[in-house]
Amino acid sequence: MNISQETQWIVPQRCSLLWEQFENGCLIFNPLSGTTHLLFDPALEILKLLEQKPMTAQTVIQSLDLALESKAQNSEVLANIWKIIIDLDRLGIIQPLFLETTKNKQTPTS
Amino acid sequence: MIIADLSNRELTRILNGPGLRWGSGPFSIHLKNSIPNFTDYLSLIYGGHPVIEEPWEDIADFHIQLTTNSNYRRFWKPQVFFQLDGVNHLAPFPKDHAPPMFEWGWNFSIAGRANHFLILHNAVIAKGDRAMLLPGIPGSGKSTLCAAMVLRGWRLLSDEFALLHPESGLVFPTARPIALKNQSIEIIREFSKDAILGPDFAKTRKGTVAHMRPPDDSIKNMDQVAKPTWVVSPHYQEGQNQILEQIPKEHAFLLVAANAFNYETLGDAGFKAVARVVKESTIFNFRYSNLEEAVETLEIMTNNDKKGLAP
Repeated sequence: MNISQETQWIVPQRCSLLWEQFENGCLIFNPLSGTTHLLFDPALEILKLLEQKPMTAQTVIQSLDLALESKAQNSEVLANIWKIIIDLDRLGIIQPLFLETTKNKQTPTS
Repeated sequence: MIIADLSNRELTRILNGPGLRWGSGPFSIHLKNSIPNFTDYLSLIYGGHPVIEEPWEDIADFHIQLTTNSNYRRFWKPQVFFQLDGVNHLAPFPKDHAPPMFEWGWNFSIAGRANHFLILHNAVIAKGDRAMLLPGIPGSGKSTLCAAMVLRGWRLLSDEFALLHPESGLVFPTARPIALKNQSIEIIREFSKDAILGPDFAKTRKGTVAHMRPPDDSIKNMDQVAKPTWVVSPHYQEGQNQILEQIPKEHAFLLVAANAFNYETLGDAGFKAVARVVKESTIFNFRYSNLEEAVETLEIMTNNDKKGLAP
């Protein structure tokens, strides 16, 4: 499967992120990679959403409840959200839902 | 018994024979040595540390031996080797640099083995049980400021490592000597006549190095743990106006974590330990050029801060 705009993203189930919220940012510890990240909004808000349930980039925008007035605005925001999602994926904090599903299916026979 | 109670002859005999064991906060060390000039250094700089007398019932944390060449190099530019558990881990130094070899070797040993602590590359001093951590890159003035504060009555926990116990969040002292480099040596000699410094060792990797003996009170209290209360990141620069400014906590977290030797090794325990330090301490950047004024400023700041004091 390939990554597309329809891809749903999620924080891996086996990844129990540790959070330390400070006044202007949040430190995240990822036990799977052993790395620590300093996140600010909107990346932080996006991660909080994806930790709750799988979402596409478009459903993330809807959940953020932004006051977008035109399609052009929506496209611009979507591009930015998409970039943040890809960055979070590269950091190993989130992953596409299909990897999570595949992993779960393989587990009993592996 | 303390090391200074041993005569030079007796100390030399012990170091050449069964080895000397002494306590250094949470650690015990077992040292053998065959380098002649090292005994004078040990007696002067570690004189106040408690000897662990035979029979040795506990396991020593570090078995260290300083040796020299056994071949022709005994006569041509002889060297000193640092052995931990009988293995040479470090490149040798010239034989007359046995003290800096010993100090760096022991630092290397602690950094590699004491993973029951989060090891921060900080100097640590304390007033009562309130600790000030001084992180800093080489050349930032960490050791100089640490030495000056200690000479004004602060308790020395360490010039090199903040040994942070992850579960309790407390710092353990080792009360080892303060390694001063280059101009700092003369600055501290002039700063206080109470400073007891060992010989200068020129042309080391860090330039000229001399070691300051820990105050006897710091050694006597080296079983007294302390709570991180302030983190002060010093930046010495000639002609710099003094500025003491708080760092936002989220950035302070990265400052503290980046100064740890084993943050990644400890995983979530390291993350939680750093978070606790950051949440419970006040954290500053400190730019200064005048040492007297710098010490006074930190005295005033800490005296005005009642955090962590009993009501």
